[in-house]
Amino acid sequence: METFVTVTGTGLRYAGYALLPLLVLPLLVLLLPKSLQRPADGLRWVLDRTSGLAMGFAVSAAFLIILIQLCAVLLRYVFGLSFSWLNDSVILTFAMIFMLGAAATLRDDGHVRVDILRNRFGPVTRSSIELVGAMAFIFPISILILYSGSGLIARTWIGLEPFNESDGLPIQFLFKTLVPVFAILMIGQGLSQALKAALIIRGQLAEDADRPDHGGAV
Amino acid sequence: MELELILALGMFLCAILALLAGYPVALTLGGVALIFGLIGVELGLIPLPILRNLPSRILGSMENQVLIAVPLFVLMGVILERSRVADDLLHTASRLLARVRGGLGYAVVIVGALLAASTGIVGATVITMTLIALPTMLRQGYDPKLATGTIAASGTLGQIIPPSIVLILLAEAVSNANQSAAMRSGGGAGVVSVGDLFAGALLPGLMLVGLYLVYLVVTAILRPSASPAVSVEDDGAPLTGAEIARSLGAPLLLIIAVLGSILAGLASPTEASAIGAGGALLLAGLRLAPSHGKAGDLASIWGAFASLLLLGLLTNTLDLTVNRESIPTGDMIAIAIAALASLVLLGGILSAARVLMRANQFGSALTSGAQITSMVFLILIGASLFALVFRAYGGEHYVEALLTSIPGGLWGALAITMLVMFLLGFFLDFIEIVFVVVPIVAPPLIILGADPVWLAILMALNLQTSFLTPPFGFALFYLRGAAPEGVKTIDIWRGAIPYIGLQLTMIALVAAIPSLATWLPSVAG
Repeated sequence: METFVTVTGTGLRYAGYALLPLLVLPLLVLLLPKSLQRPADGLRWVLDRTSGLAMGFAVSAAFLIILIQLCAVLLRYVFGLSFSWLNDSVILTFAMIFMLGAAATLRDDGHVRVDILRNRFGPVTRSSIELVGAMAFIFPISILILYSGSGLIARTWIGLEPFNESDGLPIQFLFKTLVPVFAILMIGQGLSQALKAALIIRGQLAEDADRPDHGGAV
Repeated sequence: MELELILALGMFLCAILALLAGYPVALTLGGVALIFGLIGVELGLIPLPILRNLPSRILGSMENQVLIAVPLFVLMGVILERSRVADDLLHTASRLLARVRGGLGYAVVIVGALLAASTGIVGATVITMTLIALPTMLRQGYDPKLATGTIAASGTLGQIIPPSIVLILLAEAVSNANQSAAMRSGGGAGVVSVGDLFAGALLPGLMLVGLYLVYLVVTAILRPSASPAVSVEDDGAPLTGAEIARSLGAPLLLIIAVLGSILAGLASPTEASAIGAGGALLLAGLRLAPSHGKAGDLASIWGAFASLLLLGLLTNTLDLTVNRESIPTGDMIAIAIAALASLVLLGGILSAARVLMRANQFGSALTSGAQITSMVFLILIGASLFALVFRAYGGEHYVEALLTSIPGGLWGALAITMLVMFLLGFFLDFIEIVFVVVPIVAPPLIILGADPVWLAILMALNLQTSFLTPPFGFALFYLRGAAPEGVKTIDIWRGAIPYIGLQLTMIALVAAIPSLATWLPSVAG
């Protein structure tokens, strides 16, 4: 198991290094908007759909958490029973909601902004802020999370760590894996937002082009 | 000035400027903090491992039992909103108050205080209230400033009206501070319990609701156009008892069940929030079943309510515990019936979900719930990175040094403490403030003669005001996030100002008359 995890982890890391140049793609789009528009649009489509897929899991978790927590309440108050695996499931679904939903929320502009000046900016200024924000804030934070969380994740995978209690859910390692998954989703969606901003800056895309939301529940 | 201090201040300043550029708050807080953190690492002021703590901090939020109530209360609010149950609730409440000008405003404060009381979490409460009340108020021609101010203020009531998460955390911090103060001064000290703070906060919280209502009455008299009388009743038939029971009674019962089970100590906030979300689904199903349900859905939902009654009856009369040596036949039968009733209850919830699905509200309600939850927790993650770096620069030591040099004894130190907490409330979330600021400032204040419960209530009122104060009040961010785009941010800010005045009045009252906070706990026990 340990070799498997190490080999996979190393492979993933090199895959990560190989993909890093993609993060400068938005800047290349600024330089060569015409020739890069097609690939940029294709990449945005894939990234947006990936965030949407993760949001699908987040939405399912939002329904499951109600049912699971209600079952736990019924079992405890009516029958005097309590199970660690039920509580672990609640924790897991709880974390899934925002760890998997954050990227799609970014896509759908659901994260709060201070918009006092924003409404007075033109589309180019607004898009420049989006581009700088993705490059200077989203990418570094997410890379920090990936970089400094890798040891944590490797340890939990090597032991296929279960939740603490003996009757707990045996998948604490999947729960902890939500952290890098969150970071990767944020990088992907950040890249999509940056590409969109670069295209808008170079006049290849209207600001509200894909405003009609990407189909509610995915 | 030391370099650390300059950098800590610079980080604050840069965060303000970056926030004004309009990039999402959570990412801005985290991103600016990371840049300043890396500067600190380069200059050798901050050890790199501090920044590498971020993943474990995120894991901490993911495992936080208390915060599980956030998505559940958000879902409860979103489901009630999508199914128009909350709309009906406010409509009926306001029609009952319609003879009075500004009746919708009173209804919002009262309903809002009840909702606030049932969640106790500012983010979730403000968002719930914004989703439920704001569209209705704007449709009725309310001044957006008055409407948003009322909602933001009513939302922050969740901090002070028990049960409140802040009060639970404060009780822990103040109790520790009380013991450390007693150790330093050599006296004995009692434990400050969560119950003490709940009892202590009850009177000030209810008085705040009273103040809000008085303000609305005065506004209705002086500026009738800002809070017009509700216009729906023009064409409508008079309210029937059944209508009131359905649209007002049922949700009120739900809120009272959620609030009551926490207050009576029967359920934890998380458990109560699950009851709230499940109950919201049932009510939504009941509301939409006539138009979107298939045969059997309505019966299934009513069956769920009946099962609930039956379960309550059985649980309170018989012993249904499964894990015991021998179970008498009577109990055995009761357990079987209870198991059956539980299944009927869950079936009813699934039927309600199906009704909502057919009304095309299920997916959108859950998606919107997931988005709002993501927004709240991304802020939490960003703010925790900000707090990490701020503390790495020794930010809280400068605060401590400042405090100890203030003349004027208790009142001088208290005034400065309150001001510092107020300002910190703009940037740090309340969990950080309670666990960073209170341990530093509370022991000296208690040694100077402050009553721990009184001090905690003042701090809670103060933080509540801070979360309501533009431009950085968290309640206003949350409101902005959930409000329709047509509502201007500047109106939200202006609307909050009168309520900040009311808050300051209340803080002054509690400061001047400590027994407002300390009397009830002493009676209660």
